Amino acid sequence: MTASVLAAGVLEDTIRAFFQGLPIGAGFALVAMSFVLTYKTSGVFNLAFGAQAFISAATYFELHVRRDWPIWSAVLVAVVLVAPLLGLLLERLIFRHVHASSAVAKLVISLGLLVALPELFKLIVDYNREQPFGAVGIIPDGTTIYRLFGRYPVTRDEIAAFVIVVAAAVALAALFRYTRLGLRIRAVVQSPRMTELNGVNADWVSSGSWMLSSFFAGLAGVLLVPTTSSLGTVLEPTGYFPIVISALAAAALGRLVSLPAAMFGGLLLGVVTTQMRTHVPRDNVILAELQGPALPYVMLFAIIVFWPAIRRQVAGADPLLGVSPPPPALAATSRSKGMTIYTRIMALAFFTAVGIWTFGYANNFWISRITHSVIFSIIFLSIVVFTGLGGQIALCQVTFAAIGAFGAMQFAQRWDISVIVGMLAGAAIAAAVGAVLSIPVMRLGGIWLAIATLAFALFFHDVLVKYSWVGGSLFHGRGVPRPEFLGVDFSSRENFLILCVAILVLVGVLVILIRESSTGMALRALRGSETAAESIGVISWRSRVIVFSVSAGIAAIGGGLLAMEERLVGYEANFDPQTGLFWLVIVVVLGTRTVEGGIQAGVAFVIFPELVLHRWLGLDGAWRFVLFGFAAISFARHPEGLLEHGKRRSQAMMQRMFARRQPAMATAGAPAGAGPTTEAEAETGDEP
Amino acid sequence: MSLLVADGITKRFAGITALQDVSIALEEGERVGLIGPNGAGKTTLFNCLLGLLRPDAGSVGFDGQDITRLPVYRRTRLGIGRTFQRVELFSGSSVRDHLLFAHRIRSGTGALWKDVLGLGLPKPAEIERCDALLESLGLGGMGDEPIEALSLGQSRLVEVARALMTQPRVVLLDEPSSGLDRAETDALAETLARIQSEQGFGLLLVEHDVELVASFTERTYVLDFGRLITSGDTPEVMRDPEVRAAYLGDFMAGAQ
Amino acid sequence: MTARLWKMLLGALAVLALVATACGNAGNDDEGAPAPTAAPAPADEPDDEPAPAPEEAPDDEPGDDSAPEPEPEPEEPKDPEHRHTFVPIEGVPGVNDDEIKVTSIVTISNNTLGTNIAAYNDGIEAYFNFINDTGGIYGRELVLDNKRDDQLFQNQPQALAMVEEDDSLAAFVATLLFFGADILNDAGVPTFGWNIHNEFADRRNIFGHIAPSCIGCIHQLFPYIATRVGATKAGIFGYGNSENSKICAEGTRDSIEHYSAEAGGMTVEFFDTSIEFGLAGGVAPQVSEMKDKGVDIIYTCLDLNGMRTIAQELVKQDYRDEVVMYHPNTYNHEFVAANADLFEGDLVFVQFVPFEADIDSSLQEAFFQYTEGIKLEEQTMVGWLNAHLFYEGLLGAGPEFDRASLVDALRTFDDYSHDGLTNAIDFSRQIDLPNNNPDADYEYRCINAVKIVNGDFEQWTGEPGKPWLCWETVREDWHDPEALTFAG
Repeated sequence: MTASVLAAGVLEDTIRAFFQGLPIGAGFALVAMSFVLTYKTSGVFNLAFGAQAFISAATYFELHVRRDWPIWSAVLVAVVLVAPLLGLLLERLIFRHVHASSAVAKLVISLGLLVALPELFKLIVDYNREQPFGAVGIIPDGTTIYRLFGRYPVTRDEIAAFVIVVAAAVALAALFRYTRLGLRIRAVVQSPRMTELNGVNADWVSSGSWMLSSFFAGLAGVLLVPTTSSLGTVLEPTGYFPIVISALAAAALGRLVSLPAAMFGGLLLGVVTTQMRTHVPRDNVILAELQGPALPYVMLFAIIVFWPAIRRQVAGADPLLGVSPPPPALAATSRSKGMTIYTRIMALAFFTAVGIWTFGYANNFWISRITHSVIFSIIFLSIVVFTGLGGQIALCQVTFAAIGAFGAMQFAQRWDISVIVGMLAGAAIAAAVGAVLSIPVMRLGGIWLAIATLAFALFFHDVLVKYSWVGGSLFHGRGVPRPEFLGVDFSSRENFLILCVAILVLVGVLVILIRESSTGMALRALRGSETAAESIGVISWRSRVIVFSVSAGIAAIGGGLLAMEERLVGYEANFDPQTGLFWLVIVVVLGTRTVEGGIQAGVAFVIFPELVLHRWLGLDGAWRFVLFGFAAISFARHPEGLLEHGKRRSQAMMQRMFARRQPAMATAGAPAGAGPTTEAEAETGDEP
Repeated sequence: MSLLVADGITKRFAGITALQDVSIALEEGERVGLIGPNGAGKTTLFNCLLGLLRPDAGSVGFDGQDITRLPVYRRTRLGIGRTFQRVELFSGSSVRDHLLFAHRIRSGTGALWKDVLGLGLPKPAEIERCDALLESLGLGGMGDEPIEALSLGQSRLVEVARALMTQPRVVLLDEPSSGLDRAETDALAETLARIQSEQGFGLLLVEHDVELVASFTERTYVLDFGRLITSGDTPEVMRDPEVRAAYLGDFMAGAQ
Repeated sequence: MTARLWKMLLGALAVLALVATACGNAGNDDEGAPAPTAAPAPADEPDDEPAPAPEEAPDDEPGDDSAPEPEPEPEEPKDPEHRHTFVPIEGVPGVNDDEIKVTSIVTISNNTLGTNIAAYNDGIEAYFNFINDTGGIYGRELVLDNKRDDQLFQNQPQALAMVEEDDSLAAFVATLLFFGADILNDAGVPTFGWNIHNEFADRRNIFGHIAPSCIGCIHQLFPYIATRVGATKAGIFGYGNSENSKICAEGTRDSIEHYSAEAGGMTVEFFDTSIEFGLAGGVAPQVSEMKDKGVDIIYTCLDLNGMRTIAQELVKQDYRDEVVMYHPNTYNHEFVAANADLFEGDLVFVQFVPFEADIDSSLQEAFFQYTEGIKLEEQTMVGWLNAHLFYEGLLGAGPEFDRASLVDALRTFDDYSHDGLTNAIDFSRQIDLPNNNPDADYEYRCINAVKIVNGDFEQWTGEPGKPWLCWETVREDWHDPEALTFAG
């Protein structure tokens, strides 16, 4: 064979891969443009995309597949009606009221919605009886095949997606550039009040732009169904995740604001994907990973870290962007002595009572639940450290917990080393991984940090866990023994619970020490004002890297303990990235700033669904996602968490009763409609 | 050798020249003013000195060392403190906390392992030092107040105190009078003058309140359209007909 | 009780930071260790009930609650004499004078697999109806008393709650992952389940519908299939996200390469274990490569939707007719009917005798009779098989059974094929994973496969009445399989 024949073959392969890549890229572009559209029109980095897409796709499925509606009427309802209506509701009920909040607060709200909306939908449609299996696309005879230039096959579904992507990019670009509405949308995003002064009805424009972006998310939702196998398996918001990472990479190319860049980025990454798979050999592990599961993550990381436009954007950004609204002082710091003693006595009495009940009367099930609460409290303290002290959002705490769990497992299985040592080694590894991960992205902060950490969590999940040096060998299982430590055998549930409580106390004290001393001071300064903090010599990124590492280590300790409690690494049950999103939501709702906020979140995470929802109210456990997800809305108004907020309110009331005026500390009224249950808990719980 | 030197600073933004070959210098313990109307480039120069902006040309020196490329925190640690035009305080913290943060971060006692072992908690001596400074600034007894409870004038003093806790050799004050009425401004100036003479740090005052500059500084630089148009002893500069005609007339008119 | 608890926990939600310290004290105080471990309360519950007349046989009410109302009175299973002997039993969880209660833990909500795993409960209930219609066992009815929802991966707390409740004789488990295995096994609960996990290995009290099988081992069946369909060039897919899928794919590759010469010079032309779950990047380049290399049979270790994506791409590239696909997980009638054109002529692996194959088995007859009107899934049969094993174990344990004697009896079953519906298992020997302990392997390695024709399945392996194709496990030399039935 001559070189020219070979070259012709390679060229032919390359052209073929190019045409194979475009439809895939169209899928990426659809999602990327949806992210960009929402960000551009509302300033919200909307992780709830999957939820919006899911609701349209699932409505379509329900109507067309289950109830045999004709395609056109099902599309009309699912995409043209339901999607914009959802956008309108989200804007009117939620995002309108948080317009002035930081980007991070809005991100947290969108996370809450990602958790809550699909569960609410499933509860209403009763998908928990029968899974939405075997979803279909909206294009009639979508699998009909056409041949480009007589040789490159494409389906009608793919053509439709591609045409819609290009048409939408052109139409939306024209909208923003040439029409008054587009200009108004841009103006409203930048400064709603200014725009109002100029006689534009900002409310209306804001609603309109949410309806538009929600419509687009819904359209993307139904268009992606036939080409994405995970959506055919079960129609779930997580089914969009495989596309979301690549789409985020595409959106990042346009700094989240350029629609044409998102479109071209999406198409480009689609083509890169198929070219890689055509030309790169598969016989080497790393090369195989690079074109397989790892590819989207590598692309996303590379873009975030190396794409100069993102650095420029961050450098030129409003310094307040990515910093949470200034938190008021903790209630405990302004409490009178009498109150403090009273609270402590109550706490002591309460915990003595729980202790007596647990060790005297509880059965193994409840001991196990309580142990879980204690362990999750430890894990959630890692969120208290990073989000509460550091003021940033990371979405990979779950991965650090998994590293701790696998650490304990590996050390015990391979070298028969104490699980405690293994857990601590896991914590050290997690801390190191946290540092390495965060150094390139920590300077970016805010949204980019959240994106990068989510990508890392999914990377660990999709790529690393399967390796035996991480997730263990299939043939030997993931068993983890309970420890024997300092001559004490902790294998019984009771003893192990005592160990966990002791570790919780240690970690709690550690968190308080860090908060009250130099590292915490630097972080509090950073939260208060990054510019001012730097003016007194704080090295912002270094402080955050340190606190990220500490937080990673704490999460890993919790993860290790969880594995010991369950006697195995229940990776899929406990450490799924999706679960991690809910962790953040629940901690953020209940309080990220205090140790007891973390503990309350731990108790609520474990006990609330079992005791309150299931046994007490007889409700489906899925309601917890709905309740806490929607309660995340309160984060914008009460970043200190609902419990701290409630505590402060009741304290202010008590102190008014003692006729001692508090200067300018009165907090605003209850959040409208947000999480009434948790609010009520806070109030009743604090005033026994 | 001057303590703080800006030499031939040029800075452009998207084709607009904000600063054109500006040079200033400040001696140890000196009080220097920098005036000019809005848009003259005062803030840009200020940010170049602090390291928030990097000049396109020229250099910044401190105590004989070229600091043009040093990040903000390194300059702080060398001894450059600052305040802000729009007050930048650490919301959620008490007045004393502001001083404490600055002190600890400047003195670099913040290793994580110390925190973890409980050695990083503030010591009584440090708290005493903070309270002593608050006392001398007239904020005695306010250490526990939440920062949100302070008046603007008090907030500015807290900013000064915070800057002083970093043991600066020079403090850059960015429009300290903005938002204050005459009486408050005078009180602030009086306190500043007293503490400055006690501690002997240099002061660079960026202002458009000419009265404050006139009463407070020894030397003054005047900027306009990104250029240094004149400089010298403050009284002389104030008398300079060109300066009066071009700018001060406006200010005086505005002040009356 | 729960109301009080709830209030206590409401309090917990509102306690303060220093609590952490307080809590340490409370925990370490030991509280004078009041009453060591509380004994499970309901142990002597049967006493409380007014003892019903022991003779009361369920026959008194001729199964009027059994919905399908089978026309011919079902033939009694071939039973030993003592089936209807009633002996009062005390202290055995879930057993009273009328009923033998069991619990199931099934992935119902959040099921990411998509297929209807809940059909497992249908299978159990159908079998219990069958037994109860023919007089129950030991004067008692079999009752699936508590259907717990695994809610995807929550089977460990469910198992623990079941053990603590102590009101079920046995557990039936069909979950996507099985984290609760040790809880059940350590508590001595006889556990039956859908064996798709390694947790079914190494645990004496746990019994799958099939025995623990060798994962990724060399097996003649892969090259054999190719010789049957006249294929010589294999393409193999596995998910790069899953170790399981990778090991399975590697086993297929190694098997083909091992028997390459004997199987007509068969080769592995294409091998990709790096495709990502969800296939967001498609498989177009891979299919092009297979087409270039002339692959004529595709083996996969994928779920059914992954298969569909590959099939669609084959159709798109006009290559579908040249290649046969071998499906490990596609025995789903609804799915195949909906994708008839995509899968025409493909082969699907089934773990038991498919509904399409007719064998001489009264158990199979009863299955069809008692599942009439129910949508049949793979898991319906699995539930049925598990329930049958449970019943036969009870027979083996005798009228004075308890959990331990039930397990002991089951572990004596050394040639057990669920009346021919599965490969014969030696429960006394097949406990460990054969990968770790070769002695624990099946005597015969067998396959049962169906072919997709017009969106439906047709029996493909074996011959009429003998649906299995089997190789003796000890014989590693290449030889033709034997058509077998384990019925009778």
